[in-house]
Order: sequence, then C-alpha cells, then structure tokens
Amino acid sequence: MEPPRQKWTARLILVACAAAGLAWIAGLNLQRKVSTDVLDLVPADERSPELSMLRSLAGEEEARVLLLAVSVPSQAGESPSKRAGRADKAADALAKALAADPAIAEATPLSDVGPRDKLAALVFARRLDFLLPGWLDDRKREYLESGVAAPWSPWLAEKTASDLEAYLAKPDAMAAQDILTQDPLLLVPGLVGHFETLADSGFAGGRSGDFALVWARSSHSPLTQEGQGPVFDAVDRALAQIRASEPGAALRWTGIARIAAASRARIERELATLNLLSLALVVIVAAACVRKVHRAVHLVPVVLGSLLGAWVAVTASWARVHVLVFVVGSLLAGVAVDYGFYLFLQPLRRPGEPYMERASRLIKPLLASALTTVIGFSFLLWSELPLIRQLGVFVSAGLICALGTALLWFAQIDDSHLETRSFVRRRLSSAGPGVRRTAQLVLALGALVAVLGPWRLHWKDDIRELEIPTPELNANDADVRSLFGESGSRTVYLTRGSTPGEARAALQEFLKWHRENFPQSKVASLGDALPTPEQWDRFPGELESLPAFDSDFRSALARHGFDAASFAPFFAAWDEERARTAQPAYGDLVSQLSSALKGPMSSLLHIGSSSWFVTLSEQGPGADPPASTHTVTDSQLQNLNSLFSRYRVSALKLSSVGLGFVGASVFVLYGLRRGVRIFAIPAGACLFAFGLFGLLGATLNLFNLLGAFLGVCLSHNYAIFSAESQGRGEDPPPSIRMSAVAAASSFGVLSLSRIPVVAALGTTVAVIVLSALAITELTPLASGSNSRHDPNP
Amino acid sequence: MRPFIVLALALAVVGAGPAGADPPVALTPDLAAGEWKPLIDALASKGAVEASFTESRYFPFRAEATVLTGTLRISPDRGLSLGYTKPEVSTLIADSSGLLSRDSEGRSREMPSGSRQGGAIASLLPIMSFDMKALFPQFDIRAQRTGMDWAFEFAPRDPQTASSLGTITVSGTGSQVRHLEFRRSQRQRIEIETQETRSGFSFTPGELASYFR
Repeated sequence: MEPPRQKWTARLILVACAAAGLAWIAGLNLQRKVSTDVLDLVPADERSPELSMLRSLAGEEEARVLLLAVSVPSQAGESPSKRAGRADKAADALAKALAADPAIAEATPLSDVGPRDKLAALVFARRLDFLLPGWLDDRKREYLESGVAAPWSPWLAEKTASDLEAYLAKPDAMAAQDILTQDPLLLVPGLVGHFETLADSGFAGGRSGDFALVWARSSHSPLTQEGQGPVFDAVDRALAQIRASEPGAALRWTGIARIAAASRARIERELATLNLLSLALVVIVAAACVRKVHRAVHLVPVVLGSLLGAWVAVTASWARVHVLVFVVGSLLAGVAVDYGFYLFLQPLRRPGEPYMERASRLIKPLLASALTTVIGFSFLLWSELPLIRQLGVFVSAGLICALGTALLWFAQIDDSHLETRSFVRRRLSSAGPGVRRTAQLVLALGALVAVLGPWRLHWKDDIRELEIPTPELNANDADVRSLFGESGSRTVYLTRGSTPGEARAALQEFLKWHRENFPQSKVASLGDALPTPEQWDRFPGELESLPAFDSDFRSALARHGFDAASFAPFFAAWDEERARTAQPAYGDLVSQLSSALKGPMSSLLHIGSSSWFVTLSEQGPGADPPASTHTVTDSQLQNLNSLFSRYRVSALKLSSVGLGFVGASVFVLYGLRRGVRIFAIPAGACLFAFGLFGLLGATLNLFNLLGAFLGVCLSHNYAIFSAESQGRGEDPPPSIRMSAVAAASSFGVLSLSRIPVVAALGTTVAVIVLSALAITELTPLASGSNSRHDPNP
Repeated sequence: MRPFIVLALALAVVGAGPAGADPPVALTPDLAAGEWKPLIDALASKGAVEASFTESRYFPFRAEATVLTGTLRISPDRGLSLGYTKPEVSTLIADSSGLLSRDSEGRSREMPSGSRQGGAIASLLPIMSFDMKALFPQFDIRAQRTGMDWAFEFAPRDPQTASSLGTITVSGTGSQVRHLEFRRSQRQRIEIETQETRSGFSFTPGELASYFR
C-alpha cells in the first residue's frame, strides 16, 4: 500500500500536465501548423541555387500551372479535320469556363496564337535593342577569330549581305520575305531559328494527336487547400459544361495540386495507421510477456504521456511542423514504453517493498539511459534541416515525458509490480561448449559483416522519397506532359541570378559550357531575345565604331544582287538607333519583354526575388552544368541530391558529436572499462546493420543515418541495464528483451510505410535494436559466464 | 513614259496572249464535269509523281532570282514533298497535318495545319491531286487550253490565304504538269519548272519514310 499523499501528489501532477497538454493541442489550428510541403523540410534561408529556385518554382506562378487535354469521340463518316475542329471548339469552351472561375487565374487554349503574336510583335519592334547587341558581339567574335586584314565595318557589311543571300534559299525565306527589308541582319529570323527547339515542345501547336490542349493557372498555390479542392471543382464544372454540347468529351489533366492533394491525403492516413498500429503492437508485446495481461494497460499512459509531451514541445517550438515528424514520431511508442517496462517489471526485493524504494534503485540507470539519449538527440538541434531539429525536440521531449509519466503513474497505483512470463526470463545455459562455440561463431560472423560491409555502402538522397509515391497520378502527369511536348529526350535547364541581368550573364556562361559539351545539340532560351548586361553596356560604343556601315552595307547589298534602296526601312532604323542619346536601362528592357509573356510562355522567364531563364536542349540526360554557370537541370531540382548530401554530411557530424557525448557520459558514469563494454554494444550493432545493408547492396540516405543514431541511443539503454545487472551478478533483466521486441515491432511498423525515407528509418532502427539484443544475449553465452541469480523470480 | 501608257501597253500584251490560244474561262463545276472532265480526270488519276524541278524565287528587293533545284514527289495519300538538293539539302513536306521542314541533319520543324501558314500550304494539296470537289469552295478557278497545252489559275477565296500564297498557276502539256507559279506580284513570286517526270508508280515504303511523314 503506497502512502496516500504520494499517490495524490502524483495524480495531481499527471492530471495537471495532461490537461495543459491537451488544452494546448486543442487550441492549435492543425491545418496551418502541420505542413505537408516537402520544401518545409529544408531551411527557409537555404541559399543553394537549386533549392532557392525550387522554392520559388513551388511558390510562384510556375507551380500553379494546369495542363489540360480534351478529346471528342469520332462520329460516323466524320473526317479527321472535322473531329479536330470539334476538339478545338471544346478546348476553347473549356478554357472560357475555367477562366470564368475564381479558382483559376488564367486559362487559354494553346491554339490561341494571340500571346505568341504579341511577343513576336514586341521583339520585332524592339529588335535593334533586344537582338542587335548580341548579334554584334557574335559577329565581332567571328571577325576576330577569322584573322582577316579587312577593316571591321566592310567585313561586317560583306558578311551580312552574304548571309542574307544564302538565307533566301532556305525554306523560311518565303515566309519571312516581308520583313527582310526591315531586318536584313536576320535578327528576328535568327531568333526564330533558335526557338525551333521550343516550337516542338508544345508551345507552337494547339493540338497533339486527338487532343486539343489548354494551359491554365490556378489562383492559389497548389500546396494550399485553396489551390486544391476549389481547382478540382472548377475543372469538374468546366468539363460538365463542355459535355453539354459534346457529351462524349474526355479530359486528361495534370497539375502539382493533384499530386500534392493525393500525397497529403495518403500521408494523413499513414499517420493515423502507423501510430495506432505501433501502439497496438507495443501493447500486444507487453500483454504476451506478462502474467496478468489486463495489467499491461498500465503501460498505455506512459506511451500516451510521451506522445502528448512530444506533440506539445514540437508544436510550441515551431510555427510550422512537417507531418513527417509525426509519422516518424509514431516510433516513440516503442521507445517510451521502455521506462514503463523497467519500472513495472522491476522485481521486488521483499514483499511489500515501497515504490519509492524500488524506484530509487532504478533511478541511476533510468536517468543515465534517458539523459544520454536526450543529450544525443539535443545535438540534432544544431542541424541545418528543420526536420532534423524538429525530430530532435520531438524525441527528446517525448523521452523525458515518458520517463516522467512512468515515474508518476506507477507512484499512484498500489501494485506497481508486474511479473513476466517464464519464457521471457528463460536463458540458454552457457555450460555446454557447443553453445559457447555457436555464440562465438555468430558474434565473429557479425563482426566480419560489421567490418567488411560498410565499405560497400552507397549513399543517395532524393527529395521525392519524402513523399508517398502516387504511381497512377505520376503516370498521368507524364502522359499529359508528353502531349504538351515534354519528353525524356530533352533536357530542361534553369539558370538563376539574383537579378535578371545576373541571370542573363550566367545564361551566357551556361550556353558557352553547353556549346563545348554538347556541340551537336541545339538549345533554345528566351534569353536569346535579350542582350547580356555587358553587351547592353557596350552597345552604344559598338554602334559608334561603325560610322561607315551604312554605306559599306549598301555597297555589299548591291554586289550580292540586292536593290539597296529597298532596305530603306532598315537604314532609317539603324540611323535612329545610332543617333539615340539616352539608352534605356537594362531593367526596362527586361520588364518590357517579361510583360509580353502570357500563358505557357510566362514560364520561360521568371522575375522575382530571384530571376531565371529556362533553356531547352535537344540532348537527353548528360553531365550536370558546373556551379559557376548558376544552372541546374530539372532532374537536379527534382531530387536535390547534392543539397541533401550536404545535409547528410552535416547530420553525420552532429550525430557523431552526439554519440561522442553519449559515450563520454557513459564513461563518466560507469568508468572507462565498463563504459567501453557498454558502448561496444550499440556501436557494434550499428556497424553490423550498416555492414548488412552494404552486403545487400542497399543505397542509403539521410534517414538511414538518422535511424542509426536513434538505434544506437536505444540499444545503448539496453547496454546500460545489462551492465547494471551484470554489476549485481544478475542476468540481463527481461525488460531488455521486452523493450527490444517492442522497439523492433514499433520500428518494424515504420518499415512498412509507403514513404520511402520513413521505411528506411524504421528498417535501420529495427535491425540495430535486434542486433543489439542479439549481442546482449550472445555475449554472456560466448564468454561462458554464469549469473549468480535470476533477476525476476 | 507616263504610267497610263505603260498600263495600256501591258494590257495590250496580256490581252493578245499566245497565238492560237483559247481565251481563259472561269471554271465552274458544270464545266469541270463537262468539256474539261477528260483533262481533269487524266491529271487527277496520275497517282504517284516524281519529277526533278528547278525553283526560282523572286523577291521584290532583288533583281535576280534565287534558284534551287531538287526532286518533287507527290503521293496521293501522303501529300507533296519537295526535296531540295541545291544550294543546300532540305525537304519540305505539305500534307493534311500541315507543313514540315526537315534539314540535312534530320531536324524537323513543323507548321500544323491549324496554323495560318500551315493552313495555307495545306490548301495546296487538292491542287496537286486536282480534287475539284475540294477546290471549288476554296478557289476561283480559271482555265485555258491551247492544243495540248493547258493552264489552271487558282485564286484563293480566303483573303488571308490569298495574301499568303497569292495566285497559284499550274500549267502543263497533255497529262504532265510542267510549271507551277505562286504569284503575289510580278516581283514577288515562286516559279517551279518540272523536268524529267515519272508517274503511275508507287513509292516504296523506304521512299515514303524518307520523303514524307
């Protein structure tokens, strides 16, 4: 019988803490607090170019793009062109219906050439500003490389007239003949030639096969509720509207919103399932191992108290917490229950031994194991990754609350001792030489795996593994994008700068790198329609250096059979450009071009807190551009491997420091000799797990590393309790077995997760925990030592 | 010389026409189904055609024509293909999907039939096959015959196509097409003269793949 004062004090503290915690959670706006955006996993101030770009892409207009493809069924005796005409009409109607919906900011059928015409008209009208500086730069380079003795102006005039004559034999010449008297330098036809790659990428045609194409942009970010449900409703309504006149019309469409919504729904389901399953497994393990099954229910408050404390701590510390923290946090059930096991299963020294007396015997190993783990996880607070920091707080707070809850819960019940079943306590006799040799052989094999295997490990991180894959939506996305001209045989590059001028200068460097590395591949970029800032600055001087070009060019045109007088519009524009006294600012030039980009073309140039140009190249995947070009490929953006590799190295350093402190605290508490023996168990288990993964050819990521850290901290607890028992001449307590099995079950549940990184973390911890248990069990057998008495009679 | 005298002289020259030529007539569906039917049927039933050609491009800002040579191919099913060999190798394909230009390295550039330029070019296809049923709604047609020689002049009814292509003249002898002309003005036109012509055969699958799409 425990003293009533002790019981009521413990109850009061428990109820007060639980009430405060529940009140805090109830007051939270979970929709705002809990994020499913993978970009919330990385720091807001991360300055790596690809992440900044990805963050901008996700937050800006580019992420709101919806691609829609409409088809209509063929009718008996109908010609293909008539059917195509009906599809076009349906696409027009769909675009109009979407544009009228507040959830959609803009919608346009791709057959609408208005935006393209507007851009073309602007570029043509301002061709001498947009295109002449770059053209002069290219010709100057050719002139210098040719090494000819002729002066610059006559050489340029002759070259230009010669190029113009050759151009007249090209297929494009007939279509362009009306502009050639204004543009004999072929500035605009040259740009059109560059854009051929873009023209085949869905920007030129309004149809693809049987489908008529529509481009749209939602009003809100696809990662918010407003950018998902209302958009889906708008698309449904628009489809219903076109089906009124085209009953068989079919629609295929894609957008980030669809994938994000599906991912969020799946993660939420996963969160509930994993937490419940984890808790259930822990209770089942406990129920299977104790004599009075119903009394295992006393372990549930420990787990619940731990989870509540972890939720409160992490939500109080951050404005937004990623849902992955809670998914991974479900593992706490398997860890938190440990303290319940240690306290509840602790044998009585004498009948009626008071709780406080028993608890005081356990407090040193309990505090040692809890605090060393907390210290270890606290080092994760220095991580650059918010996810790792949040996990550090979640686990640390959860463990402290688990220990506190366990101490208080068992202080307020009369019978705080539970006897385990005999099979949990049963141990193999180490007397026989066969048993000893087998144990030694197994440990030796394990050591071999631990030594050889880690060298075969491969590491790779992919941000896409942080989400649950949605194969059917991804396949639909790829299909629809292919209708819009996106294919794997092309590479998309994004070149970034903090200003449009910086981005354009970087683009020049990138294009140079691309020419050297992929000389056979054509590239297209809207950047071709803009000079670099340097070219723009040099432009007035370049024009001044050509005072006689007018007459030189007239003579050259005549020599090549042209009527120079026909080119009067060009000469007038040339003279006007040369006579200009004030040159427009570079920013004005960019703004003018940017404002003419509508519909799908708006994704070719971005101006905002950072600016970038999109470049399309004909070649498939190849070497990534060097960092100096400030350019990344879309595949680099999709996996962010290089960025996460940096975080992995950072996490490895912090984990190493954390483990160093864990180890040091053990040496302080238990002395060097016992400390080494204690630390050898988690370290050996961890190396064995990595060795096993290496031999199995697994590719590991940041989350395997985090799992290893967690696994080492958990198995470190077993080593401490095992050493405590050994110090008292006892066998390792059965609570170690139960803890390990409960933790392995809990993490085994995580390994079933459809989120690849969560599965990786769960598998790693489960393997380490089971390995540590095996080492704890096998070491006494291998050494042939006999315990003096059973710890749990 | 005063402009009106030039105009009068020009009209006199044009009005005189070649000696013995019938005056051009506005071709109607009735005429096409009547006295012109044998010639139109002969031209329409030629099947595949392959002919070497010389193309002269006249630009308003250049005195001399730009001359290109190559091989013209017509497939009743696949459309028209102009395979240029000089001054550089390229292929221009006009078919029901629009216009496709293919350079010597195999790079293609497409103008869908839904686009303005592609649509105008696609309207040429019924001319190549003398599909009068498809031609009458699209063109005002004038026809002229002198012995074995004949000429058809197609003026697009759609102003946009008219400004893009101009007036199209197809002329020849017997059942052979000898001359094609796209005329926007006297100084802005394309003339295609065919030389060695082969007809009444089928393209092999390889030729279809190489010269058409």
